[in-house]
Amino acid sequence: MFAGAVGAAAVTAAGELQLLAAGLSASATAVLAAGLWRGRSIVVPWLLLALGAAAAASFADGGDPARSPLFAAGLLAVGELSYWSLETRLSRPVSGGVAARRAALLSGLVAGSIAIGAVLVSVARIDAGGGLALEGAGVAAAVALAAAVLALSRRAA
Amino acid sequence: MTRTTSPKLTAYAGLAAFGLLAAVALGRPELAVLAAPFALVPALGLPLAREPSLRAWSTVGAERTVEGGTVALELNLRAEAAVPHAEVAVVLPEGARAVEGPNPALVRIGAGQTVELEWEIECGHWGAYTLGEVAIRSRDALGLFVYEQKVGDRRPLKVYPSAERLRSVLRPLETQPSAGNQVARERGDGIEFADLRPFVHGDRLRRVNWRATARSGELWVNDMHPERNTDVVIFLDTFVEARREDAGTLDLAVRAAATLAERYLAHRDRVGLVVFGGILNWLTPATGIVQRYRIVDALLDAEILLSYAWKDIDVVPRRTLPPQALVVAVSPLLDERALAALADLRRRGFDIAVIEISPVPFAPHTTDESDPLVERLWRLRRAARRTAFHSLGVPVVEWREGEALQSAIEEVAAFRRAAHLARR
Repeated sequence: MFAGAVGAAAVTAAGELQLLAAGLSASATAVLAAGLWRGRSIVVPWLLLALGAAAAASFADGGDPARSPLFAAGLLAVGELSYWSLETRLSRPVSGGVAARRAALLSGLVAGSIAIGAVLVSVARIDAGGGLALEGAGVAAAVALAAAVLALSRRAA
Repeated sequence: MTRTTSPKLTAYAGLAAFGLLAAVALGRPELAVLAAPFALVPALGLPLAREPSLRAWSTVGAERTVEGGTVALELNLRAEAAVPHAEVAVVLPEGARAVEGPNPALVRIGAGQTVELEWEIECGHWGAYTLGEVAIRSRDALGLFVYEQKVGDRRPLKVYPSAERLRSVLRPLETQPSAGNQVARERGDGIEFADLRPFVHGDRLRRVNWRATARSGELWVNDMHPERNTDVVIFLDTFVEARREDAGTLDLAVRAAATLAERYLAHRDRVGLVVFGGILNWLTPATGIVQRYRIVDALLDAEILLSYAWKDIDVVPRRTLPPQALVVAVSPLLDERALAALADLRRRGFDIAVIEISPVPFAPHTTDESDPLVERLWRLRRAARRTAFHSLGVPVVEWREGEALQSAIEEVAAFRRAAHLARR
């Protein structure tokens, strides 16, 4: 349902690319429903990618970039709820507070992602010029982030 | 303990990297904003991920139960550091299921806390198992890693086969000298009236039948049948079985053998066991509650072990088959070795009855055109085997799943009565 809501928000904001956003959102929601029914976690990243593409389509067609932190938080919530559903589909909680704690954690993550998104939107509005050096720095930052995640996951495992 | 990366971590890292690279490539900062939360979760979760430290104690409520009975299982889980998400599942033996208590259960254990979990396990199939082991799958706070481990003490659990209802058992043709519940064919001191005969020197006065004496004018005495016990050997054929997923002929055979042993022991008879198959196992005839448990324990170990080695009755120790014993064979009549051994026993003068555990309900249903003919030939061959036993004076009765064992016993008794009359 939450995925459907995020998709609907993307379709509403999409302007001329509404049809594309609607197709992406609808297919993503259907795939998620099927994946949750069958217990397949592989569908979740593809669902998030499709919903993200629908949101990106809305920004490409003159959407307000200030709304992107809300979309980002919505996508995160969809992902977290999907994984939550998949992780607990076979088990039944016997001790209290499992759901409440997870809901609180999810709220915190959503709030944090909105805050980070807002900071990023503000930073993006600063005109720092352009050029190959800045783009190279951007690519390097993205690659460094992926490498850091990989290194941390290896160390933790 | 095994640690694996959750699909969530891989997905989030991939989405974050893809979003950031797409933002740089397309010059759209909104994509970086969309990707940022997916980088935030690993950035927060990875430094905080810790291996859970869990200690567990499990208690099994009973060491033995009957097929279909329940056993309580209690587990205490203690965590040194908080475990926010742990799925706890009982490792169940074959045929068992948790009828009370969630399996798997989802728990949260605080630092230094102990969580107590209870299950009622229903044992659906006889056998010797272990119970008490529990599988735990726990996750860190943000669910980026999955830790799996097995804890708990494995305790032996014996599930005895459930007994069939039997009102009466098959009476052996011959009895033993010891006192018991069976009325012997010979005459002596007993309760059951046998006949009248003229008084001879040495007869007790209290055995004089005064009515007959008054009618005839000379002394007549009552003859009685004494009550004796019998030796019964249960012969379990374990060479091969016919089986589908949930049941097989061995299951029925073990159930029948356990029921017969229990009933004969209740009548103070001596009961022995011969498990004749890939593995030979035997118990010499004895009586009492200890023998009952010995027999049932031996039955729990009965299994089909494929063997091509020829075995005949000579491999069975002589004292296992006492003279004048009744041999009740429980067999699906599928293996020539068991059939030859039974025929050999009969030729040696043993009193034999065969309860055939029908393999027909367990035979696979096929659709090939030639199959009806094959099946007919198979059935004819089985009928020929039965006829061969009948010609030796051995009753063979078919017992099928869902039918009462009593009907098979009555059928054997009827065959023996008819054979007895024919001999006269």
